[in-house]
Amino acid sequence: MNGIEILIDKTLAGSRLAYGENRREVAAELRSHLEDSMNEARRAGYDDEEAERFAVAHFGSPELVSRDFARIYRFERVRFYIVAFGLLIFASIVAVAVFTYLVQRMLVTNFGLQHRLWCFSAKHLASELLLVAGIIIGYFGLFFTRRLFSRGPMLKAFVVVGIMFLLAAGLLQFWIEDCEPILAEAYICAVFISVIEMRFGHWIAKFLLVAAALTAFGTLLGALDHLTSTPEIMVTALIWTTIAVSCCGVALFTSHFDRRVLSRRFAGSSV
Amino acid sequence: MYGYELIQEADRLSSQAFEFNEGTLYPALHQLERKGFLRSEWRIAETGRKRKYYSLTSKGRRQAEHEQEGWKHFTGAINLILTSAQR
Repeated sequence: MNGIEILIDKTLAGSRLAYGENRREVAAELRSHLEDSMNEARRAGYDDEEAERFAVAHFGSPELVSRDFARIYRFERVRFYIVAFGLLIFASIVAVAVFTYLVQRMLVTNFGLQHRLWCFSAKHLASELLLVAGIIIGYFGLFFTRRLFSRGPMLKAFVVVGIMFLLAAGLLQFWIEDCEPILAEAYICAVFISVIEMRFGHWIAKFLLVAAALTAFGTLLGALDHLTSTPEIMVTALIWTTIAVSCCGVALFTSHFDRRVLSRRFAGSSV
Repeated sequence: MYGYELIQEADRLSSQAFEFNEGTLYPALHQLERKGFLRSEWRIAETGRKRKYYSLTSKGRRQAEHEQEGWKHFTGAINLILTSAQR
Protein backbone atom coordinates (compact mmCIF):
# COMPACT_ATOMS: atom_id res chain seq x y z
CA MET A 1 0.00 0.00 0.00
CA ASN A 2 1.47 3.38 -0.96
CA GLY A 3 1.43 6.59 1.11
CA ILE A 4 -1.72 7.88 -0.60
CA GLU A 5 -3.70 4.72 0.13
CA ILE A 6 -2.47 4.64 3.73
CA LEU A 7 -3.64 8.24 4.18
CA ILE A 8 -7.08 7.48 2.68
CA ASP A 9 -7.34 4.38 4.81
CA LYS A 10 -6.53 6.28 8.01
CA THR A 11 -9.02 9.01 7.16
CA LEU A 12 -11.83 6.56 6.42
CA ALA A 13 -11.13 4.39 9.45
CA GLY A 14 -11.38 7.38 11.78
CA SER A 15 -14.41 8.83 9.97
CA ARG A 16 -16.52 5.79 10.99
CA LEU A 17 -18.40 6.13 7.72
CA ALA A 18 -20.49 3.03 7.06
CA TYR A 19 -19.34 0.73 4.28
CA GLY A 20 -21.25 1.45 1.13
CA GLU A 21 -21.65 4.07 -1.55
CA ASN A 22 -20.92 7.02 0.73
CA ARG A 23 -17.63 5.59 1.95
CA ARG A 24 -16.56 4.66 -1.59
CA GLU A 25 -17.39 8.17 -2.82
CA VAL A 26 -15.35 9.84 -0.08
CA ALA A 27 -12.42 7.51 -0.85
CA ALA A 28 -12.66 8.30 -4.58
CA GLU A 29 -12.88 12.05 -3.91
CA LEU A 30 -9.85 12.07 -1.62
CA ARG A 31 -7.90 9.88 -4.04
CA SER A 32 -8.72 12.24 -6.91
CA HIS A 33 -7.55 15.21 -4.82
CA LEU A 34 -4.29 13.53 -3.84
CA GLU A 35 -3.58 12.50 -7.44
CA ASP A 36 -4.16 16.10 -8.59
CA SER A 37 -1.80 17.29 -5.88
CA MET A 38 0.85 14.75 -6.95
CA ASN A 39 0.50 15.80 -10.59
CA GLU A 40 1.06 19.41 -9.61
CA ALA A 41 4.22 18.43 -7.74
CA ARG A 42 5.46 16.41 -10.73
CA ARG A 43 4.92 19.44 -12.99
CA ALA A 44 7.05 21.43 -10.54
CA GLY A 45 9.88 18.91 -11.11
CA TYR A 46 9.46 16.47 -8.20
CA ASP A 47 9.98 12.73 -8.75
CA ASP A 48 7.20 10.25 -7.83
CA GLU A 49 8.32 9.70 -4.25
CA GLU A 50 8.72 13.41 -3.54
CA ALA A 51 5.39 14.15 -5.23
CA GLU A 52 3.66 11.64 -2.96
CA ARG A 53 5.25 13.21 0.12
CA PHE A 54 4.18 16.65 -1.14
CA ALA A 55 0.55 15.54 -1.58
CA VAL A 56 0.41 13.84 1.82
CA ALA A 57 1.97 16.86 3.57
CA HIS A 58 -0.46 19.32 1.95
CA PHE A 59 -3.47 17.15 2.75
CA GLY A 60 -2.88 17.60 6.47
CA SER A 61 -3.70 15.44 9.44
CA PRO A 62 -5.98 12.49 8.57
CA GLU A 63 -7.17 12.46 12.21
CA LEU A 64 -8.50 16.01 11.85
CA VAL A 65 -10.29 15.27 8.56
CA SER A 66 -11.74 12.00 9.80
CA ARG A 67 -13.01 13.64 13.00
CA ASP A 68 -14.90 16.20 10.89
CA PHE A 69 -16.38 13.47 8.68
CA ALA A 70 -17.39 11.49 11.78
CA ARG A 71 -19.22 14.53 13.16
CA ILE A 72 -21.01 15.26 9.88
CA TYR A 73 -22.20 11.67 9.35
CA ARG A 74 -23.02 11.03 13.01
CA PHE A 75 -26.75 11.07 12.43
CA GLU A 76 -26.58 8.22 9.88
CA ARG A 77 -24.55 6.18 12.31
CA VAL A 78 -26.92 6.75 15.20
CA ARG A 79 -29.91 5.97 12.98
CA PHE A 80 -28.34 2.70 11.90
CA TYR A 81 -27.59 1.74 15.52
CA ILE A 82 -31.15 2.52 16.59
CA VAL A 83 -32.72 0.51 13.75
CA ALA A 84 -30.29 -2.42 14.16
CA PHE A 85 -30.72 -2.64 17.91
CA GLY A 86 -34.46 -1.96 17.75
CA LEU A 87 -34.82 -5.02 15.52
CA LEU A 88 -32.46 -7.00 17.73
CA ILE A 89 -34.43 -6.12 20.86
CA PHE A 90 -37.72 -7.06 19.18
CA ALA A 91 -36.33 -10.37 17.88
CA SER A 92 -34.79 -11.13 21.30
CA ILE A 93 -38.04 -10.48 23.16
CA VAL A 94 -40.00 -12.72 20.76
CA ALA A 95 -37.36 -15.48 20.89
CA VAL A 96 -36.97 -15.48 24.70
CA ALA A 97 -40.73 -15.23 25.30
CA VAL A 98 -41.58 -18.07 22.90
CA PHE A 99 -38.77 -20.26 24.23
CA THR A 100 -39.80 -19.67 27.85
CA TYR A 101 -43.46 -20.33 27.03
CA LEU A 102 -42.65 -23.63 25.31
CA VAL A 103 -40.42 -24.81 28.16
CA GLN A 104 -43.06 -23.80 30.69
CA ARG A 105 -45.78 -25.64 28.76
CA MET A 106 -43.61 -28.75 28.56
CA LEU A 107 -42.72 -28.63 32.28
CA VAL A 108 -46.30 -28.15 33.44
CA THR A 109 -47.52 -31.01 31.24
CA ASN A 110 -44.70 -33.44 32.13
CA PHE A 111 -44.76 -32.72 35.86
CA GLY A 112 -48.51 -33.29 35.88
CA LEU A 113 -49.18 -29.87 37.34
CA GLN A 114 -52.56 -29.44 35.69
CA HIS A 115 -53.65 -27.11 38.47
CA ARG A 116 -50.94 -24.72 37.29
CA LEU A 117 -52.63 -24.21 33.93
CA TRP A 118 -53.66 -20.80 35.20
CA CYS A 119 -50.16 -19.67 34.28
CA PHE A 120 -51.23 -19.79 30.62
CA SER A 121 -53.99 -17.28 31.17
CA ALA A 122 -53.73 -14.09 29.12
CA LYS A 123 -53.11 -11.99 32.23
CA HIS A 124 -50.26 -14.15 33.49
CA LEU A 125 -48.70 -14.44 30.03
CA ALA A 126 -48.85 -10.65 29.70
CA SER A 127 -46.99 -10.25 32.99
CA GLU A 128 -44.37 -12.82 31.90
CA LEU A 129 -43.97 -11.03 28.59
CA LEU A 130 -43.48 -7.78 30.48
CA LEU A 131 -40.81 -9.47 32.61
CA VAL A 132 -38.93 -10.84 29.58
CA ALA A 133 -39.23 -7.54 27.68
CA GLY A 134 -38.08 -5.66 30.80
CA ILE A 135 -35.01 -7.85 31.23
CA ILE A 136 -34.01 -7.54 27.58
CA ILE A 137 -34.67 -3.80 27.29
CA GLY A 138 -32.87 -3.28 30.61
CA TYR A 139 -29.89 -5.30 29.43
CA PHE A 140 -29.66 -3.36 26.14
CA GLY A 141 -30.18 -0.09 28.01
CA LEU A 142 -27.24 -0.85 30.29
CA PHE A 143 -25.16 -2.07 27.32
CA PHE A 144 -25.47 1.31 25.59
CA THR A 145 -25.77 3.72 28.49
CA ARG A 146 -22.46 2.63 29.99
CA ARG A 147 -20.76 3.69 26.73
CA LEU A 148 -21.88 7.26 27.25
CA PHE A 149 -19.73 7.74 30.34
CA SER A 150 -15.99 7.58 30.70
CA ARG A 151 -15.92 7.70 34.52
CA GLY A 152 -17.85 5.13 36.54
CA PRO A 153 -19.81 3.95 33.49
CA MET A 154 -21.52 0.95 35.13
CA LEU A 155 -22.74 2.83 38.18
CA LYS A 156 -24.03 5.74 36.09
CA ALA A 157 -25.70 3.32 33.65
CA PHE A 158 -27.46 1.59 36.58
CA VAL A 159 -28.78 4.96 37.78
CA VAL A 160 -29.93 6.14 34.34
CA VAL A 161 -31.62 2.86 33.41
CA GLY A 162 -33.09 2.63 36.93
CA ILE A 163 -34.70 6.05 36.48
CA MET A 164 -36.04 4.95 33.08
CA PHE A 165 -37.58 1.86 34.69
CA LEU A 166 -39.19 4.01 37.39
CA LEU A 167 -40.68 6.27 34.73
CA ALA A 168 -41.87 3.24 32.73
CA ALA A 169 -43.48 1.79 35.87
CA GLY A 170 -45.20 5.13 36.50
CA LEU A 171 -46.63 5.16 32.97
CA LEU A 172 -47.49 1.47 32.61
CA GLN A 173 -49.40 1.24 35.89
CA PHE A 174 -52.38 2.81 34.11
CA TRP A 175 -52.59 -0.13 31.69
CA ILE A 176 -50.95 -3.08 33.43
CA GLU A 177 -51.94 -4.02 36.95
CA ASP A 178 -49.05 -4.71 39.37
CA CYS A 179 -46.40 -3.82 36.81
CA GLU A 180 -44.08 -2.26 39.42
CA PRO A 181 -42.81 -5.50 41.04
CA ILE A 182 -42.41 -7.11 37.61
CA LEU A 183 -40.32 -4.20 36.34
CA ALA A 184 -38.28 -4.24 39.55
CA GLU A 185 -37.56 -7.96 39.02
CA ALA A 186 -36.66 -7.28 35.38
CA TYR A 187 -34.30 -4.48 36.36
CA ILE A 188 -32.53 -6.64 38.97
CA CYS A 189 -32.13 -9.45 36.40
CA ALA A 190 -30.76 -7.04 33.77
CA VAL A 191 -28.25 -5.77 36.34
CA PHE A 192 -27.22 -9.37 37.19
CA ILE A 193 -26.66 -10.20 33.52
CA SER A 194 -24.73 -6.96 32.81
CA VAL A 195 -22.46 -7.30 35.83
CA ILE A 196 -21.67 -10.94 35.09
CA GLU A 197 -21.11 -10.15 31.41
CA MET A 198 -18.70 -7.35 32.31
CA ARG A 199 -16.79 -9.21 35.03
CA PHE A 200 -16.32 -12.62 33.45
CA GLY A 201 -14.58 -13.31 30.16
CA HIS A 202 -15.48 -16.86 29.22
CA TRP A 203 -18.97 -17.44 27.86
CA ILE A 204 -19.42 -20.73 29.75
CA ALA A 205 -18.72 -18.92 33.02
CA LYS A 206 -21.22 -16.23 32.00
CA PHE A 207 -23.93 -18.78 31.17
CA LEU A 208 -23.44 -20.73 34.41
CA LEU A 209 -23.31 -17.66 36.65
CA VAL A 210 -26.30 -15.94 35.04
CA ALA A 211 -28.27 -19.20 35.21
CA ALA A 212 -27.33 -19.70 38.89
CA ALA A 213 -28.04 -16.08 39.86
CA LEU A 214 -31.39 -15.81 38.10
CA THR A 215 -32.55 -19.28 39.19
CA ALA A 216 -31.73 -18.46 42.82
CA PHE A 217 -33.45 -15.10 42.49
CA GLY A 218 -36.56 -16.61 40.86
CA THR A 219 -36.77 -19.41 43.43
CA LEU A 220 -36.51 -16.88 46.25
CA LEU A 221 -39.34 -14.90 44.67
CA GLY A 222 -41.36 -18.13 44.41
CA ALA A 223 -40.72 -18.86 48.08
CA LEU A 224 -41.86 -15.37 48.99
CA ASP A 225 -44.93 -16.04 46.86
CA HIS A 226 -45.73 -19.01 49.19
CA LEU A 227 -44.74 -21.81 46.83
CA THR A 228 -44.28 -24.87 49.01
CA SER A 229 -44.56 -28.09 47.01
CA THR A 230 -41.29 -29.43 45.59
CA PRO A 231 -42.56 -29.83 41.99
CA GLU A 232 -43.86 -26.25 41.99
CA ILE A 233 -40.54 -24.91 43.23
CA MET A 234 -38.70 -27.03 40.66
CA VAL A 235 -40.90 -25.77 37.83
CA THR A 236 -40.37 -22.17 38.95
CA ALA A 237 -36.62 -22.68 39.20
CA LEU A 238 -36.47 -24.32 35.77
CA ILE A 239 -38.48 -21.52 34.18
CA TRP A 240 -36.09 -18.97 35.62
CA THR A 241 -33.14 -21.02 34.38
CA THR A 242 -34.74 -20.99 30.92
CA ILE A 243 -35.12 -17.20 31.03
CA ALA A 244 -31.52 -16.85 32.27
CA VAL A 245 -30.02 -19.10 29.63
CA SER A 246 -31.96 -17.54 26.77
CA CYS A 247 -31.11 -14.00 27.98
CA CYS A 248 -27.48 -15.03 28.17
CA GLY A 249 -27.76 -16.22 24.57
CA VAL A 250 -29.08 -12.76 23.68
CA ALA A 251 -26.15 -11.13 25.51
CA LEU A 252 -23.65 -13.36 23.71
CA PHE A 253 -25.22 -12.64 20.33
CA THR A 254 -25.30 -8.90 21.07
CA SER A 255 -21.62 -8.67 21.95
CA HIS A 256 -20.78 -10.75 18.86
CA PHE A 257 -22.99 -8.49 16.68
CA ASP A 258 -21.37 -5.39 18.20
CA ARG A 259 -17.79 -6.57 17.70
CA ARG A 260 -18.10 -8.42 14.40
CA VAL A 261 -20.79 -6.52 12.52
CA LEU A 262 -21.05 -2.92 13.79
CA SER A 263 -17.36 -2.33 14.49
CA ARG A 264 -16.47 -3.63 11.05
CA ARG A 265 -19.23 -1.68 9.36
CA PHE A 266 -18.07 1.67 10.70
CA ALA A 267 -14.29 1.31 10.77
CA GLY A 268 -11.44 -0.69 9.30
CA SER A 269 -9.89 -0.44 5.89
CA SER A 270 -10.91 1.95 3.14
CA VAL A 271 -13.25 0.50 0.49
CA MET B 1 -15.67 23.21 -9.56
CA TYR B 2 -14.07 20.18 -7.91
CA GLY B 3 -12.26 20.25 -4.56
CA TYR B 4 -8.72 20.63 -5.79
CA GLU B 5 -9.79 23.31 -8.27
CA LEU B 6 -11.49 25.24 -5.43
CA ILE B 7 -8.25 25.24 -3.44
CA GLN B 8 -6.22 26.37 -6.47
CA GLU B 9 -8.72 29.11 -7.20
CA ALA B 10 -8.77 30.35 -3.59
CA ASP B 11 -4.97 30.31 -3.66
CA ARG B 12 -4.85 32.30 -6.90
CA LEU B 13 -7.50 34.86 -5.93
CA SER B 14 -5.95 35.47 -2.51
CA SER B 15 -2.39 35.59 -3.92
CA GLN B 16 -1.62 32.58 -1.71
CA ALA B 17 -2.50 34.50 1.43
CA PHE B 18 -4.05 31.47 3.14
CA GLU B 19 -2.40 28.25 4.09
CA PHE B 20 -4.60 25.43 5.31
CA ASN B 21 -4.72 21.66 5.41
CA GLU B 22 -6.31 20.74 2.09
CA GLY B 23 -8.06 17.66 3.50
CA THR B 24 -10.24 19.76 5.79
CA LEU B 25 -12.01 21.20 2.74
CA TYR B 26 -13.88 17.94 2.03
CA PRO B 27 -15.81 17.57 5.31
CA ALA B 28 -16.77 21.26 4.91
CA LEU B 29 -18.04 20.63 1.36
CA HIS B 30 -20.03 17.60 2.54
CA GLN B 31 -21.52 19.64 5.37
CA LEU B 32 -22.61 22.41 2.97
CA GLU B 33 -24.08 19.84 0.62
CA ARG B 34 -26.07 18.26 3.46
CA LYS B 35 -27.40 21.69 4.39
CA GLY B 36 -28.56 22.16 0.81
CA PHE B 37 -26.17 25.00 -0.04
CA LEU B 38 -24.24 22.92 -2.56
CA ARG B 39 -25.08 20.17 -5.01
CA SER B 40 -22.57 17.71 -6.40
CA GLU B 41 -22.19 15.39 -9.34
CA TRP B 42 -19.55 13.00 -10.57
CA ARG B 43 -18.19 13.76 -14.02
CA ILE B 44 -15.45 12.27 -16.15
CA ALA B 45 -12.72 14.83 -16.74
CA GLU B 46 -10.85 15.21 -20.05
CA THR B 47 -8.04 13.12 -18.61
CA GLY B 48 -10.53 10.27 -18.15
CA ARG B 49 -10.54 10.57 -14.35
CA LYS B 50 -13.73 10.78 -12.30
CA ARG B 51 -14.11 13.98 -10.31
CA LYS B 52 -16.78 15.28 -8.01
CA TYR B 53 -17.97 18.73 -9.07
CA TYR B 54 -19.76 21.09 -6.72
CA SER B 55 -22.07 23.98 -7.58
CA LEU B 56 -24.11 26.43 -5.55
CA THR B 57 -27.84 25.83 -5.20
CA SER B 58 -30.22 28.82 -5.13
CA LYS B 59 -30.39 28.42 -1.34
CA GLY B 60 -26.59 28.41 -1.24
CA ARG B 61 -26.44 31.50 -3.42
CA ARG B 62 -28.77 33.36 -1.07
CA GLN B 63 -26.73 32.21 1.92
CA ALA B 64 -23.49 33.30 0.24
CA GLU B 65 -24.97 36.78 -0.38
CA HIS B 66 -26.08 36.94 3.22
CA GLU B 67 -22.62 35.89 4.47
CA GLN B 68 -20.98 38.41 2.14
CA GLU B 69 -23.15 41.19 3.57
CA GLY B 70 -22.26 40.09 7.09
CA TRP B 71 -18.58 40.00 6.23
CA LYS B 72 -18.71 43.49 4.65
CA HIS B 73 -20.45 44.82 7.74
CA PHE B 74 -17.87 43.20 10.02
CA THR B 75 -14.79 44.36 8.08
CA GLY B 76 -16.36 47.85 7.75
CA ALA B 77 -16.73 48.04 11.51
CA ILE B 78 -13.15 46.85 12.09
CA ASN B 79 -11.88 49.40 9.55
CA LEU B 80 -13.74 52.17 11.37
CA ILE B 81 -12.12 51.16 14.65
CA LEU B 82 -8.66 50.97 13.11
CA THR B 83 -9.06 54.31 11.34
CA SER B 84 -10.19 56.11 14.50
CA ALA B 85 -7.41 54.46 16.50
CA GLN B 86 -4.82 55.79 14.06
CA ARG B 87 -6.08 59.39 14.42
